[in-house]
Amino acid sequence: MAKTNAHQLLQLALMIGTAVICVTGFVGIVFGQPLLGVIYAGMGAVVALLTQKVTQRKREQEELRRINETLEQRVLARTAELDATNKELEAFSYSVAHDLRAPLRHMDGFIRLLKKHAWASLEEKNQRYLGIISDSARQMGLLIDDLLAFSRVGRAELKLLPVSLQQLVQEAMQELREETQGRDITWKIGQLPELMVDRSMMRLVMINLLANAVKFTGKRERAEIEVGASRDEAEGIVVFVRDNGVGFDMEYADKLFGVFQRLHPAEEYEGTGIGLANVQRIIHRHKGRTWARGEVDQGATFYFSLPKATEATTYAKVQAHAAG
Amino acid sequence: MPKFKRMLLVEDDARDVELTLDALEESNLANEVDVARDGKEALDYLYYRGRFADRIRETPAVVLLDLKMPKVSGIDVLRQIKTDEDLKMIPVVVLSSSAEERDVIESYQLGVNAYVVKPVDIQQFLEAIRKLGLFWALLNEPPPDRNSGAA
Repeated sequence: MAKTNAHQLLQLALMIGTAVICVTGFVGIVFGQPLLGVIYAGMGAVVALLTQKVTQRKREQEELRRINETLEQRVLARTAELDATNKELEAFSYSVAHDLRAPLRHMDGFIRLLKKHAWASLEEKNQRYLGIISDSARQMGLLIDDLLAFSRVGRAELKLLPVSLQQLVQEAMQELREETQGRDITWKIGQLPELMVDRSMMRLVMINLLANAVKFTGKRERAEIEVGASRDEAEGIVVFVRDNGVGFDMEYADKLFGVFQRLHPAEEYEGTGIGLANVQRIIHRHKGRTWARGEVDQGATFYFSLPKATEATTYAKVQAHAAG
Repeated sequence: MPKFKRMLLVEDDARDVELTLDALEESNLANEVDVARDGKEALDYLYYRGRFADRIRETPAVVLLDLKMPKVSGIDVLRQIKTDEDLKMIPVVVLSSSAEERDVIESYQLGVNAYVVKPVDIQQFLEAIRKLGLFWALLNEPPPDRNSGAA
């Protein structure tokens, strides 16, 4: 406010100055003092120019202030919009969780009742139909559960703690005991770093990647699964999971990490196709990226990278530096 | 034969009632179940009002409670039970279609005794209901019945 007043005063002073100088100059010319007149006129012109500059400056400042104000309002409006969208999304997933699962349960439930009461009287073909309906209902239940978990991975807050990747791999292998039972799998686990990451999310990443490797080497007499890590100047920390399984066509590499995308027929390899989408989302949330290399029937390698600062020792150094 | 205690099933969806009763029947527990079709009926049952005005004065061994119901919701019923001196000892098990975090948190904050998600897979659903029935109607020792003492 004070600034505006000072501005107005300065402007007024300049305008009066111009007027005085112009009048003096004119008087000079009229009364036979041409040199004085020219000097005064020149000064008048300079002062007029200054006045114009000051006015322009002030207009610009006004403009800037207005833009800032509109910007602020826009940010507020956008934030409110985002909040509303977020709430809507939450309400949406809530109703998906509740309202879509009930009819599925009923389908499966009443088919079971039908089977209980009428199974013997049904032709084999019709028994098969009932089985298919029931399987489909269950499959949709799994898809809904996976989708909800996927949306939670996107919303849940990241809790960064030092986590041993080595240990997460061990835990993931434990988790996959059932799938690996009776299989001949050679595990090669390299030196793995300690990372500042969200433990439960990174655990999900390792489970998904290892489960994938186990699944797609299913038809190999001897499966080989390798987990390793390296430091890369450009990428930061790079972790990979390599297998000698069925591999994939690089042409579809960009589809691997999509939601419900599958590159292999469901009859051959079960699963809903959300695992790698979860991996990508979690890695993105840790500011890293995911990619894969493979060749049909020649195995596949899945990579993810994390910023250098994710490594626990680097992280500690950076924190200490910031504190010091 | 051990004596089964009565259970109250609060469920607005007729199909879920039928499936639940069928599951309990396989464990010979169906006869011990009373059904309230929404939150209001559940409260009528517990306070001996409306169509339950004349029922035997007996506190249920457990209330199996659906959350999403019209009029009075499961959360409202739970709150009422757990804030009423005469009712708050009745074990309440929430039977919900989902494990939405806010539902789980709110239920436990109100003092729910267990929270069970109804599985889509009917075999798992049956198994869950059967276990629940056996646990609450047979294994668990319910709080002493206030009515039998007072009346």
